[in-house]
Amino acid sequence: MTDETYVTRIVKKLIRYQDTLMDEPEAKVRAREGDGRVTLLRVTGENGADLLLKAEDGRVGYADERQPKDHIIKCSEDTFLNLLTREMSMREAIARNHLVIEDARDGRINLAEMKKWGDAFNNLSGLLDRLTNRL
Amino acid sequence: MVISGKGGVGKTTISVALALGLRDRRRDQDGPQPPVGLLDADLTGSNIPAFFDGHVTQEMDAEGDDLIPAVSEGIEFVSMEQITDARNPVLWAGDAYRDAADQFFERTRWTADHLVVDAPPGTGNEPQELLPRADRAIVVTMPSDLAHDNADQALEMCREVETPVAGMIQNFDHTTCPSCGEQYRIWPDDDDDDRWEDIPVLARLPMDPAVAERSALPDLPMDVIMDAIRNPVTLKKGRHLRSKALKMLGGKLG
Repeated sequence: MTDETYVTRIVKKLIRYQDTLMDEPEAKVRAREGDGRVTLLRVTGENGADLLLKAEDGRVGYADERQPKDHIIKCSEDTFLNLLTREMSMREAIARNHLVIEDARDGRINLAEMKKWGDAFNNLSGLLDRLTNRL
Repeated sequence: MVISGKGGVGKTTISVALALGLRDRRRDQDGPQPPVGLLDADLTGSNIPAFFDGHVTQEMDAEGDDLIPAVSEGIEFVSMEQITDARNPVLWAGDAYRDAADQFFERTRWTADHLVVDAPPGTGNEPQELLPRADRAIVVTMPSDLAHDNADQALEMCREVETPVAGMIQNFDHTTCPSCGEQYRIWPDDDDDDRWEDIPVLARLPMDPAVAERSALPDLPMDVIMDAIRNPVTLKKGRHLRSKALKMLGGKLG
């Protein structure tokens, strides 16, 4: 992980707070779908960060840096904040090329992951609001 | 694969009508039949889902690295609109379109045994990615010189990638007077009947307000189309050079 930037601190807080909301019914739907996947979140910009995350037991946590990556999510810090504050939807960020989800193996876009992330942000918008309000 | 070269000639409507026509031809057959697939390769102008609005029994989904197509009455379909929403413009860079077209084709769990691909206009990334894998191409055009010129480019692309051509469909060919019922051509009669030589014109479809409103689909001659799909024309590379040489030699080239 890189030095602590505000992106790093926000992600740390989101991970800490997720347990308080993950028992809500909307969060349980397909919560374990990403289990086992390791994703590099690459937020570019002065306050950006590279964060290696993994999904396990329906929860997001930090991955061991030795674990092989499945996907890379790339966006700017502006997009990261726009998504968190829901100024921009995930689907819009994907469509407008503000956020890219790639296969770590070959660097090609991954449509299936884009579909999952777009749907998840859409379906969990209320929960995300409650989560980000706690930051 | 339904291609055109020119935009606005009715490719998507014809693709949907073709998929439904293929589905309906199986209704007489015994037992459950596999669905017909419809791949919306017009990534920046996708609108296949609009044709099935209100009739979708299974929404598009994703599992692992695969897409699960939406299902509507014997048709499976995938479209960029189902990932990014219709209101968002898709503003990707070149290679991403090729990757997306490839994944719609290869990483969708199709159960269909026939796949109709609706191409975007032109000869860009998506047709470049998918046309070489298509078993047949149908070229849609309309009666205008520019559309015919672009149809020629589409045919040349088929020649380049060696995809056999089932034939041409001329859309907006004529219309019917709502008062007297007489058919007439909207554009001046073209003299292009021989333009495509041995490539058959499979249908000359009317301009129909009901089709424009999506309350009806064009009535495709499925028997003719199926026959053409079974007996396509393979455009040989170098044909122009041979005919040019033939002309230069006054028709004496063997």
